[in-house]
Amino acid sequence: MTRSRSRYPRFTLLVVALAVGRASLGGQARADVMAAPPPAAPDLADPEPAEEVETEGFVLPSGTAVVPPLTLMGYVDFGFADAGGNGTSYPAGDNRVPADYGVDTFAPAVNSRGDVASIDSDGRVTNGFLPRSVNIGGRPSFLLNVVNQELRYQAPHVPVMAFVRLQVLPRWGGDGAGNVTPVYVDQAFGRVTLIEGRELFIAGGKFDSVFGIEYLDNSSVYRTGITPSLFARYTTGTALGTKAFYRQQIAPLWSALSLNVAATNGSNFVEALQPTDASLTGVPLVSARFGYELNLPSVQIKLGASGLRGPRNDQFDRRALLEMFGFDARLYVAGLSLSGEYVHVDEDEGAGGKQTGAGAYLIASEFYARGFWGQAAYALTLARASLRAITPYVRYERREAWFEGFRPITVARVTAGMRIDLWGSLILKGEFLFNQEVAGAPAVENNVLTTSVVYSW
Amino acid sequence: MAWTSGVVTMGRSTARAATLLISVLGGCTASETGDQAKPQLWTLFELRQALDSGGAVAATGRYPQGINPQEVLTPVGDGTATLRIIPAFSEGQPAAYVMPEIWADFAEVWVQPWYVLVTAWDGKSPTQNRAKTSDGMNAPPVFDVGPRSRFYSPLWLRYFAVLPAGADPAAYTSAERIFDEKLAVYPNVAWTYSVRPDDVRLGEAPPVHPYLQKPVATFLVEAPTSWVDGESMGYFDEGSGNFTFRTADLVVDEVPLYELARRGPDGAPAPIGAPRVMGSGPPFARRPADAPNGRPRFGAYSRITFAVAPATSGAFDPDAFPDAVALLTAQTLDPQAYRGRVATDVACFAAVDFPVSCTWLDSQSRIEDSLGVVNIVPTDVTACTPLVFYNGKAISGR
Repeated sequence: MTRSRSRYPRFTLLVVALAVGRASLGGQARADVMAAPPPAAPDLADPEPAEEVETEGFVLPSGTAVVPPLTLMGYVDFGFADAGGNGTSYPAGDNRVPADYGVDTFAPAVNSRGDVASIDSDGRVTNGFLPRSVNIGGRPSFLLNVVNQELRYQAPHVPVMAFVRLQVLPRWGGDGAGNVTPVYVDQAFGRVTLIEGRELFIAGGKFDSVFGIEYLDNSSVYRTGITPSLFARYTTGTALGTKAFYRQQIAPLWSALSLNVAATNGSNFVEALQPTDASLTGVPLVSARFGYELNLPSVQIKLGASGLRGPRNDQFDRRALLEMFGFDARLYVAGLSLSGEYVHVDEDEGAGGKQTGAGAYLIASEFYARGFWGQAAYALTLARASLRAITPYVRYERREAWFEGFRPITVARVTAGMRIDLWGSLILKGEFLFNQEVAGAPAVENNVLTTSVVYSW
Repeated sequence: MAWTSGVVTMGRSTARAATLLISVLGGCTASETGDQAKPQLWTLFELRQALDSGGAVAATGRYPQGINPQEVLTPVGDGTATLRIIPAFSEGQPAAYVMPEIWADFAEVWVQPWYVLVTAWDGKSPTQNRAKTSDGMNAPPVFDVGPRSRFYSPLWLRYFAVLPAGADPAAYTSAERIFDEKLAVYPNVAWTYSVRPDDVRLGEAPPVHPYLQKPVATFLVEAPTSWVDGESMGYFDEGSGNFTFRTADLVVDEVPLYELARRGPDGAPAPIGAPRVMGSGPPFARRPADAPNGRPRFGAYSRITFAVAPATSGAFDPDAFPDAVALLTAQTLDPQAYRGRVATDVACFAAVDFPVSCTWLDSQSRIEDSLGVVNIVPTDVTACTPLVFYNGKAISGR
């Protein structure tokens, strides 16, 4: 009880402080986080950052009115990237088809959306296992990675919140395609707090994944580094449907248990790999994450297990299942954050061709992927007014994946970089991606140097 | 009633929701499956299995009868099977082909790369420097997209990969190594090779045209070994330059393989069962057959296409028309060259001026001119159908 009393008032004060900061300075708010907080986006003014930004798990006491009902937030992510070779993972002279089955096309990522430098297969047929591309190839280029605008409305005195996140993505469309600037509805949902004073929420609309932890870093502001892991394609896509979140604090044990469950049109594959705005089979996918967190005063440990099952939503056969499971862990202590995730993906063969967010393709192939990523970051918090923190980080990941009849491909990647937070609203990041084709795919020059400047309001 | 109706409606909704949830958690019933067809590929491995299990393959909505595996393979008493030579007509003459692969619901297929290992590059005689294994044999070719993938294709673009000096060819069993070591590769020509299980062979005797009993192309041979993504696999060589493809995207050009049919009672095409007719270009393209020196540059990839003939049509059977056979013999024509050939009106078989009395449906142009667009009905079945006999004789060369 002592612990409980000591935590919650302080927590409330921090929420208030964050809210005031957001109202006055335009600080970021994570509107759709129903689960654990990100280690990547600490409020650097606070010595216990990871706990305090976990605002979605907390319900303001009745009568508290510190947040303006309507809040506008956003950021611009501007970068510069230089990818090796021709910006793809296709080896020169390789004429196998489909071109995207024998390599990892997601490896040469250049920004927080996972967009790659190029997917140009030089005319060779591909089969829809492709990320979005900024189409710069191997030419160094400035990029406006995303213009992100968020709108959050918290109805006064009723437990209802609405949130919309729109992203404008200015791109060159590639040879002959001219300029293209899609507007992407990343999230749009309403959320109801069912029981006052309890962390029990129901949401409907298009919202964040519940699988794993990497979705927490989708935003350029919250991601410690720049590029997502090689597994983000499976776990970080937003989905359309309903979800529920419940967390039970166990104060005597300094612990909490949480359950996040969703029923959605599609999986949490990124939108380039599957349509999210309609169910192609008429049967929802069910996904869930069960989490445990230990919140000691100086150490925080978070563990989770996730699962997903249902018809793959890039084809029309209800029998063609996508099954995933994964495990995640995070540790925060004295500015050091360690995090990692294991992901396991099995996809049955589908019917009726493959329908992705990028178009239609011939075959919805049987597919499998396994692997993990692990990241270490240390936030050196500084007292200076302008220079808030310096965070070096490194990530290692290894992914094995294969399509039916194709040799398994094993790739690994080391990502190393630095993040500098200035004035609380400007973030400078720079990182190297060292991609390695370990087995099954020819070695190619596809390392990436990328930078990102994120200004938020 | 409204209340009852509401209950019923809700009941349905609840039941449906429950069913959907059960579907997610425990699997679906057949009635809940999509009605979309899966693109399917039958290689010689699947056709060999189908030969044992019986039943047609590639039965689709637009080709419901499918293809009997016994049309492709002949079972042999020792438990093996041989590749069957299938009679046909093309450009008004007897022809024959083999059919080692069949696709259903594929809009297109592609050429894949096939690597031949050499010790040095000689542009004028590329095979001059074939790499040899320790036993003095040619090093097996290498390719990566094998028959367990639906992207497998027997239609290849052959490349020569130059090994470094002193390299052991046995170490090169996948294209991955060729690219890892950045070997120089040189494109060569289009070629048709079909991987096969060990128990599918050509037979002891040289293959012949089933009706004419004349030998077919000598390039049709069986080879013991290729490396398919690290796995050893035998294959058939079915000739070079017998298809074309778009260089931009490597999509293979298809020609129609006409299946002569009549309208059934339901109006759907009902095959006559006569030898098919190999086209030489896209339907109604009026393209002259491209066959320099008697070697057709078409046929290795075709789409089965119904050619719906009149109700009076029929296939000539020499055994049923001895007078017609006598007329053919008098003109030094081989009656077997007319076996199975379809005429628009079977009455012509009894005419005194046979065979000129007949309007034959034995070439693409004659079929299209005689039947018109409305009677040409493409199916969703395509096949690898390299010609081994053309213009009444074996195709020469490689």
